Amino acid sequence: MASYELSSTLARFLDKHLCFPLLEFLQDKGVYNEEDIMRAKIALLQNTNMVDFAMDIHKELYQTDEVPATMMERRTEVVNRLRSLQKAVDPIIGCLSNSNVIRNFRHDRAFNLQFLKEEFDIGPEQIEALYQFSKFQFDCGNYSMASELLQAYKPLCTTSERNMSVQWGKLAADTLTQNYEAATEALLRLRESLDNQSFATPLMQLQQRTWLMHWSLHVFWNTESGKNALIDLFLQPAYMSAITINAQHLLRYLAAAVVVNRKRRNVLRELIKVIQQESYEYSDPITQFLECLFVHYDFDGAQQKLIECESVIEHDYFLTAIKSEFLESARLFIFETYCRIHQCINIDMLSERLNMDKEAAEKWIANLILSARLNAKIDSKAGTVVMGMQSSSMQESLAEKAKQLSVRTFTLANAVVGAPATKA
Amino acid sequence: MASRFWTAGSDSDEEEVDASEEENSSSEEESSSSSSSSSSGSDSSSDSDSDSDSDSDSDSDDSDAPKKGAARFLAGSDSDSDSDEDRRVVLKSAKDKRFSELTDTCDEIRNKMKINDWSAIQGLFDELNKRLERARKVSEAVGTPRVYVRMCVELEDFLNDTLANKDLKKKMSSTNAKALNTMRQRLKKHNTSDEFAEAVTKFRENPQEDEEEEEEEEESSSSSSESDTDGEREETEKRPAGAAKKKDKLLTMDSAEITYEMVAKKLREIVTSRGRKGTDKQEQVEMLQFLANVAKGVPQKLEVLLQLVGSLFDLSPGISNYMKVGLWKRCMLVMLEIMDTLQANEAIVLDDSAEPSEERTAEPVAGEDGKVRVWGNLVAFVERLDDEMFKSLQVIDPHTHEYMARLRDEPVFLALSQKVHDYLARIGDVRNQPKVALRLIEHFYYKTDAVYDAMRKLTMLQQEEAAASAAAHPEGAVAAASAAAETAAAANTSNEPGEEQTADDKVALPVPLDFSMDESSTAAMKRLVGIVFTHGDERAKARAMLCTIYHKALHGDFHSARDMLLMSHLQDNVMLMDISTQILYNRSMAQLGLAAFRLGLISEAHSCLQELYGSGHIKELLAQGMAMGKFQDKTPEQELLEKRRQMPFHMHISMELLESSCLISAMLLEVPAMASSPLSVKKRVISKSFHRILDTYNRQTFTGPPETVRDHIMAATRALMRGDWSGAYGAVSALTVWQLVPQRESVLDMLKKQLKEEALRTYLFSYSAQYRSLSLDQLCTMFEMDEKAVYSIVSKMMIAEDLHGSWDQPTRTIVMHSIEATKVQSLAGQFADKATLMVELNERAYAFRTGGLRDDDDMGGGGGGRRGGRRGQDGQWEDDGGHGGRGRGRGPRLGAARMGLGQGGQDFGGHRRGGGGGGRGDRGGFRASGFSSNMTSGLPDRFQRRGPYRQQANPNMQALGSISRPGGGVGGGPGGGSYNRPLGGDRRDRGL
Repeated sequence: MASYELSSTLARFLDKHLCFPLLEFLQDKGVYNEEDIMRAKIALLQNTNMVDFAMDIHKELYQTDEVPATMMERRTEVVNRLRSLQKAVDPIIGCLSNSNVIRNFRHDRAFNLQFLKEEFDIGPEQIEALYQFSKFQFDCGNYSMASELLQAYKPLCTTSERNMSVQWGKLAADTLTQNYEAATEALLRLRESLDNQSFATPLMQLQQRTWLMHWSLHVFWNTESGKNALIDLFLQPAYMSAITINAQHLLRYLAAAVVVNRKRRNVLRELIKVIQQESYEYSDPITQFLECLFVHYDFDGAQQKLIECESVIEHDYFLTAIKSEFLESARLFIFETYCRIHQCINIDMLSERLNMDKEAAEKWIANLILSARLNAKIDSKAGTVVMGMQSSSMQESLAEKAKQLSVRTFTLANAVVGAPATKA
Repeated sequence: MASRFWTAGSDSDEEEVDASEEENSSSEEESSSSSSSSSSGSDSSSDSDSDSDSDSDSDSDDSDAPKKGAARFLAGSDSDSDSDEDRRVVLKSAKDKRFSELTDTCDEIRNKMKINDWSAIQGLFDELNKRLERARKVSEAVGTPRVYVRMCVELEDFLNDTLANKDLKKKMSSTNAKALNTMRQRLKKHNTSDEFAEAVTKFRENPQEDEEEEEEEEESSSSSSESDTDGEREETEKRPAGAAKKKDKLLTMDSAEITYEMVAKKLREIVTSRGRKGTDKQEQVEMLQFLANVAKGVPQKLEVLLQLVGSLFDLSPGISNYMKVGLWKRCMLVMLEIMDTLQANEAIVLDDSAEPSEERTAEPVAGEDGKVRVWGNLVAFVERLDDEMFKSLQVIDPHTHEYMARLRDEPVFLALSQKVHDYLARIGDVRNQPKVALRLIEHFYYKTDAVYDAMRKLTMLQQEEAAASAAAHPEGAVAAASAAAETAAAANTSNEPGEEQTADDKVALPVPLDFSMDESSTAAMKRLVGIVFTHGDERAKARAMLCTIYHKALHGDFHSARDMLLMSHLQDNVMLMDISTQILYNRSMAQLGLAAFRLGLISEAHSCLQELYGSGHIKELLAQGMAMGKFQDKTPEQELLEKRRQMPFHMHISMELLESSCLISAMLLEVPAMASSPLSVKKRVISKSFHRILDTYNRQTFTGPPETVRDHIMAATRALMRGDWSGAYGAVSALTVWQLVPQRESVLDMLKKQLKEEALRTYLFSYSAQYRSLSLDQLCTMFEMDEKAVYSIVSKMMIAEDLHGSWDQPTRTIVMHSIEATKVQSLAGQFADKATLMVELNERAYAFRTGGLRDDDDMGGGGGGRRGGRRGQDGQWEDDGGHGGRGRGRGPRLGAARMGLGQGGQDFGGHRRGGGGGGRGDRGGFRASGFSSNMTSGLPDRFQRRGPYRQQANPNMQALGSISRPGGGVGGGPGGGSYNRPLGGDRRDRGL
């Protein structure tokens, strides 16, 4: 199933720390060689400050108690840096932890800086140190701390680039602390600032949007309303073009979200179009499933793809949670589409299609009919489902039109005659 | 009295040349000055013209010659005009006078030659002869004056040129042409007659010869009435004389005796004289050739060689004619030599910003960085050579061996360019490197793999030959080449142009042995394009991009070619580019269309090709010939320009293939669409040109067997409209153009498949009303399709509500729910629509006054979506082409394009479904959007014409077409929805 495994593709767009959960997940699933994953983890940690963690993994991987000298060196280096930063940052933290100070802050950044300078003699160096410290904490894996520090730093940062960094940092930190509410908010803010960013080159914007979408996967798939938000975000024109240009694999998540989310059927058509159009660059069982069903009306093919989908979803860090939901919705999709173009269906065949036994299928259909989602009747003698046909006749539609006309004309006439005062 | 003559003279300058004939009674007028008749007036007029000579001094010795001649004769037969001083101030000796007459006539003939007025030339020539007689009598000299001989030679040359230039001849008036013919005969007789033949040949051998003696004489003669004290003139005049002398000296000197200084001085002389009128270019070339052999030191040699290339270029005439092949080859040889030298001496750097060596007497010393800088611009030379090759290919008849022979020269040019390119890369000249790279790209991009391989083989073959000949002559290939060049040079100096031609053609151009072409053209393109993209300027980048697109499309990589086109945003600004880039753009579009067609992406192919083809100017758009329209009012200049833009034959895209691809795509899209809504008046027109052709075809009372591409496709269309796919396939596959497609089989298979599908759809559209039920198996056999495909197509139609029916699964049949509207019903529906439109208009009108019965803007957004379905209503405005240029439906920007496709569908379900548009009036969500689009059709027509993708192709090579993203179809365009809003606002402003 490794061919549809996206981790390596996704990792290119994710923060080092955000990759980590993916690797953990892969280790659990055992898709890849465990040692390879461990090595990957060490490589990943190499550039972070989580030296101890890296050492642990190293020990586990090579079954030894010794760690390479480079790691030790790195460790002392990190510790030293921590000390120096801590020292630099102490005054400002002390100051900011005072709630009175925060209360005095205003929206005007220049004022804030001025205020700090005057009252506490805190200059730009300390503020800069605060930023560095929070980054350092983040690198150490101390995400909640980093998040807090960034929150404190935010009203003090002056340049817009730095502001962006802060926002990215906040999003990552909140995501990693699994504080999804805060993360959602951070995400929204970040998105706003991305869209309002006028200085960035198109290429930069494109890249940042792509990042944003990837990072947001962590948030969206872990919150209740996330799927809706995901659909909204990904279907934004700017983001959609980012997908089509350099992250076609995100279509999988969009497709899955749409399938699962019944309320958003209306975007299906749009999604299908994009999938079709990008099919020469990216396709996996999930997109193929939609393509089979809604482009080719190849129900057998769709059935086939659905089976493939199952294992793909199982091995996807983000989707694995919605597996059963997805399968259920997909089945419903097949059935609905099937019913739309048939007036008479054999239940045997249908149960086969739906991967259920006959009894269950009949029950399932009966339920659908009961819940008024299907206008049909079961002919149990012949073992068929007969669709109720509702076709509006030409006459009806004509009459409808004429009625509308008269209503509108009436309103218009009223408006003209009844409101002479407005005519000035 | 003298003053009277003066005035008379200045009045009747040249008009009275005829009158002067009368007084050719030989007696010397001025001695018998008492005869103050009018004729004597005219006489003195030509006299006073000798003063006007000084006006024409600036163009050096063309006009010098007569004076000199006059002076010579004056000196030779010293003054029988023993007249007194005051007279001499005004009047010159009789000989002088006669000769100035002669000169004047010659000048006038030259003038007439410039404007190509042969009848005038004829008259003047007669007069010239008469004057010559007179002059002879006066001077009693033997032989023919040089002025006269020169004139004869010039005339002859010009005559030959004119005769060679067919277009010019065609344009001549009949009298002019007649005069030309007379002149030809007369000149022929004249120049070959005993009297002149010798003089003419002598003159041709050495046009400069006795000019110097004359000049010297002139200088010594104090009687010269001219006031040529102008120093500069002096210099220029002396120089050729000096050159000739020095040449002799240099040529005879032992090469060991020649010093650096001498060569440098000589070179400088030649450089300064370059480009001036009257310098003998041929001689300069010879001299330079000689200098190159005796030059001291490599840098000097390079200087000389570079100069030599420049001089060789000077030999070819103007921009309208192409450089003779032989000359071109000589240039190539010299260039290759330069490159070899540069390769061997890495310390030397060519730099066009370096000052050309001034007064240098010794070999230049290396600069601080150990480099010797020599002035020169290789890139300009390469570009010129390329241009000349291009021009020659434009002119040479493509069906001759000459053309093939010319094409064989391409490898050498490629080798040279590659060398220059490598050299520039070595010295790190990133400014010029892309230029050469681009030239190379433009030699590669249109080559298919087969052609490229052939070219590679040819290169290797030529290299082998060169190696073989090098082995035979131990001096090596370069020496052999230079020997060849010398023979060519020798041939060039001989007088007959024809001879020169043949001799030059024999020059062997060895491909340098160290040149190797990339394995595949794709690799070559990739390498070169990378360079252009990193360093090139905007235009170079755009061109390189277009070439890449073309190349990719040619190799069947449609998707990435299209992505490149869209991502580069070239469509947006191609209109602002130069014409040759626009042509390249059109070519790329055409190729892109063909690629899409080969892959079976019909609607993409159609939207690529339709703009090109529908314009009716496809030949001009692709620069593959000039259209001979009836209403052409091109000025000759325009025509000339256009001619200069033409593509050489080997780069052409098959016009027939384009036409077939375009029409077949249109047919496949149009036939089912027509079948889906036969009654609807507002049917959507996908391809106007296709409809036009179909209408003409249908009007024919008798249709014979298909002959042209159109006939074939129209026959296919007819078959297809009946659902007869095999008939349609028969007609289409009978086209001969498929032989041109490399993947013939797969294309035909694709066509068959497409035809079957569309036939099935058409069949169902047309005849479903006649059925109660249809068996799946029967459909399968009818259309020879497998069950799955039929199932898929029919299901698609059901979902789109194109087909009112549903499957009965147990019996495998389609059951029709025939709710097909009767004619009355559908007409009533249309009536209702129109009434709705009227109400809508009233509402709008009311809204102007009051500011809103309803919120207009809410509906505005939907307008674009329904445009597809509503287009038919706009029919009445279809034909006004005047508003084409407006920015409607521009090429999609990438972001907008990709997204736009989705937006439409979201708001108002399925407007892209094309044909179904008319029949789906009762769908949810239609109301709002339908209204506003109805609304717009009531607007002034200039707002109307904005069908996306239907950009009018302007005849003057404007940007064409845009391509829809896959699945986008030709229906709604990306810009559709959003365009509506500003439009509404605009209208409101007008209302208030």
